[in-house]
Amino acid sequence: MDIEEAKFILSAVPPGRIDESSPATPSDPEVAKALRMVENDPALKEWYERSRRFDAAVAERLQEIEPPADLKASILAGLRVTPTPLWRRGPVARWSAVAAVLAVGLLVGTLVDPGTSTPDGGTGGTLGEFQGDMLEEVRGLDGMDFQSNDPAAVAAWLRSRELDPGSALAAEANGHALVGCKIVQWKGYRVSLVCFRLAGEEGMPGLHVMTMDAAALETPSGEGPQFASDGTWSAATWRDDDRVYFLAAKGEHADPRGLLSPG
Amino acid sequence: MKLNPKELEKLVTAHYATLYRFALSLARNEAEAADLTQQTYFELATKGGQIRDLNKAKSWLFTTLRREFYTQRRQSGRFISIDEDGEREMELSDEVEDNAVRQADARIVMEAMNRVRETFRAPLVLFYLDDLSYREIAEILDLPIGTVMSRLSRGKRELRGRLSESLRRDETPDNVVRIPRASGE
Repeated sequence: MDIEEAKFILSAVPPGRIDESSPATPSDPEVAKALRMVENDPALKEWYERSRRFDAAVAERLQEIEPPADLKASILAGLRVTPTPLWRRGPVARWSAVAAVLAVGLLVGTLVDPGTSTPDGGTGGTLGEFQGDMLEEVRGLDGMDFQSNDPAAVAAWLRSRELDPGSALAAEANGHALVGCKIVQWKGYRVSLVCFRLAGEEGMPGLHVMTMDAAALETPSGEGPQFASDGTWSAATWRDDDRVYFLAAKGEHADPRGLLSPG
Repeated sequence: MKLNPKELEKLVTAHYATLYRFALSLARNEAEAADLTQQTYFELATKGGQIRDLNKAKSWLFTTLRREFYTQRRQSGRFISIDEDGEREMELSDEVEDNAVRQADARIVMEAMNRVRETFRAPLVLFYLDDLSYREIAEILDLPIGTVMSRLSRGKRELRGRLSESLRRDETPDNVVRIPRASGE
């Protein structure tokens, strides 16, 4: 590490993140290394101290900006009249929701490939959980992060964010119209979502393909594909090498994975 | 995770001021910043079930506010310098004395921050407002860590230059700087 690299690293450490009483033990080893250089290089030390004073002064000034006096009260009042989401409603609605979830679960159970293992009921990270959560994402989808009908542009956008669309864009070659993409989160992992209009259809996207790093799953790599349907969406979830795919298509499809490739 | 009214109120108390300041740096307009902050908590109340860990709520709030800002801008057709990275590096003097910054008031610092290019402004404001690590900033802005570090480094250089300009201008007796800038000004 040279002086410029040390400056680069230390510039990114916020004022409150280094324990001045024990500066050589931050959790990031690169920061620790840069701090050791500070101790041995007077010019770097002078730069560092000046930089820290500047950061502290800017941070202090920005913290002085006061929100409007009534903002907090206004937010709290707004929350009191916000329609209560399902998960906070009374017991009837809650049990109705539980029943609906169970019904979908039973349906999923009947459609699961008989040769595969079912979710292990652990703390999370199974293929089945991924499928359930992603189906929920698709149902609640309210827009995309990046809109384009150009597969190269969508791929570039995702790759610039260190996400690999895998074979998700293959659906475009199969006549489905690319609409755009979005990044969603699942158990701390980022998932790319690519949206299409089904071939020959107009309006809202009816085909969604999600791709995630298979390391996010806790279940064995030999686990087979899973399928689900809720009457509106047909879904399939499967592994392919080091990726996990989720595909949801509007309408009834025995194996919606076929939408990704001709035939 | 289920957020009850008490948890919601706690999250409002803990973060609304910082969220407002972040919104102000994006919108550069007080009314819009207040509206964005309120809208973010509305999203929390209606979609809070998506947050699986209460410790992640802060990141979720910042991410949601930023997304909401861009959504509103897209919908209103007001936009946006999408990528200013291609611009040449600004030739600004970064000779600003730390004492001068300490003696400047918040409005001068915010005015200088508002003139930092948008690409750098969001990571800088997150860095200064809430002691977020570069990893957390990367998560909120959905950028690679190296990009965040680079933007912080370059953004600070630009901020020093802008502060230097602002401090010089503020010494001019007939100068009036209104902070934050209303849109369209």
